[in-house]
Amino acid sequence: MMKFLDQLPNFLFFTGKGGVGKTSLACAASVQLADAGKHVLLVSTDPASNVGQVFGIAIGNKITPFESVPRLSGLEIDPQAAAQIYRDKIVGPVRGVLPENVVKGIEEQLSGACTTEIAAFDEFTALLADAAILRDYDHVIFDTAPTGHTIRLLQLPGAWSGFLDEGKGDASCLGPLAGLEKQREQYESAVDALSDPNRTRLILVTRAQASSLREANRTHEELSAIGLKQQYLVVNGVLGEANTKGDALALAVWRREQAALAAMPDALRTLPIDHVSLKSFNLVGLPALRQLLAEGGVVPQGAVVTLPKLQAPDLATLVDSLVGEGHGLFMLMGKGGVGKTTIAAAVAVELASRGYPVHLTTSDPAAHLAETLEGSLDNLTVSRIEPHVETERYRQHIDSHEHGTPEAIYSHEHSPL
Amino acid sequence: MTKIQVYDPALCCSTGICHVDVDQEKVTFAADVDWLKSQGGQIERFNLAQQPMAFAENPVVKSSLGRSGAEALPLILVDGEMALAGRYPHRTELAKWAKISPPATDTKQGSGCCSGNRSC
Repeated sequence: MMKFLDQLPNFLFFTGKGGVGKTSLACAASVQLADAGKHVLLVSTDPASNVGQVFGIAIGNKITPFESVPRLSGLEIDPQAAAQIYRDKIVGPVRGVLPENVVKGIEEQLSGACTTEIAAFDEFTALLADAAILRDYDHVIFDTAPTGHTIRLLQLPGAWSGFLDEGKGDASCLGPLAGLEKQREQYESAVDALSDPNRTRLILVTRAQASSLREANRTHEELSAIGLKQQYLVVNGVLGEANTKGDALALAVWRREQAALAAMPDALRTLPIDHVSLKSFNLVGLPALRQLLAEGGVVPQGAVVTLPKLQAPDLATLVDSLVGEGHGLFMLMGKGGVGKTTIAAAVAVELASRGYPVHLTTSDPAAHLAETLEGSLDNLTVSRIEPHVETERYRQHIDSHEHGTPEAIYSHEHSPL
Repeated sequence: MTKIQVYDPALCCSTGICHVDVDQEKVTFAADVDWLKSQGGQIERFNLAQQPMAFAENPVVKSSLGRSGAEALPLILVDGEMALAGRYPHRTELAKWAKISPPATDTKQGSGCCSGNRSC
């Protein structure tokens, strides 16, 4: 049995760099617990949740029992849908009472990121604080969003309670204090649940890769600091040595993984650690999920897939098309873990080595650009937009205002891209 | 005690200063509200984007919105009567309504400007 599933408390959070396998592990753990007779609620807070896809069913923003797995239910917290419900709750009662353009103004104001965060957070704390949830379920398993988002989501309860205690600093997206007071108990019990090792366990998911391990370590330290002490580490998708015979690529991957594990940050070594071996099948559907946590299992049928041949430009061709413009702002997008940062760095290095001045930046709090680009090139500037640092700078900015330097606001620096 | 009620336009947060582009008037007023509270004044704020029912339930505010729309905001009621519309009051005005001694200095700079350990 995996250590991370032993003596399990009520709440289980999976976190880790994008693409490490949080969803697969959360789903597999849920199925295993349900199979063992436990009542389990599997919750996804990822805006791009694919829990439904893994099980081949539609879940959505309310608790839905999985017909194929007795005792297992799912819930997808969709921040956008939650925001819509919040908007309706606020605006509904005054529609037709206040003038139409006034109502429109309110709706417009409630369409921002603040509202989405508040609404998603409300749903999240409701689950942690609702005693009824634990009457119905033995375990609530959270398949959280990629790390940067997870950290913010998990840090919020602490931040909010501190905010309420100090009774100050309205300068945030927390809504009117009057409204908050009513929910104070709910936030407090959410914080209690999060920091209680008898109720909450955090599972750091990583691959046997240096950047993924560094990320896990960063999350470990940040979440320990806010009181989530009970943490476990799962190294997912480890390539077995037996699979490297006569395969130079597999052998290189194996060596790299073993080297990464050997160089694991010390803080992580002290945690209980599980290794999950790399599987040769796609982790979709129940038979595959039931095999994930079982060692030496058989490959489910129909698991062999043929990959289509992709027609895509190589990097040099891509950069050729970029330099044609002279100046430009280039943005890389994609699911967590696919290699946005790596490709961005490669493009930046290629542009810089062709003699163009390049500024490479990221707003991802969990970014590893500095690690990716150790040793810099001429023409190449690397920077990171740190949400925490920017918030602090902004706060000081406001403070300086109150002390009578109104001009300061107009010299606000915009980060160069 | 005199009760001051402030009906704010639709703001993202309760003071409207959580945006990157801060409106100086809102920052100043947020500080003034803090100051008034520290002096024992009674002041309450309502945000149209978060408590629209408070606007709909107050006949003075509701009829003003019906007449002038959201442009009439902020609306300031003193003991339930309209005292100011369309702009935020200054600290001296707040002090006068709340019947407390006016701030030591309103425009002059220098030490002694702050009564507490908070900002001016």
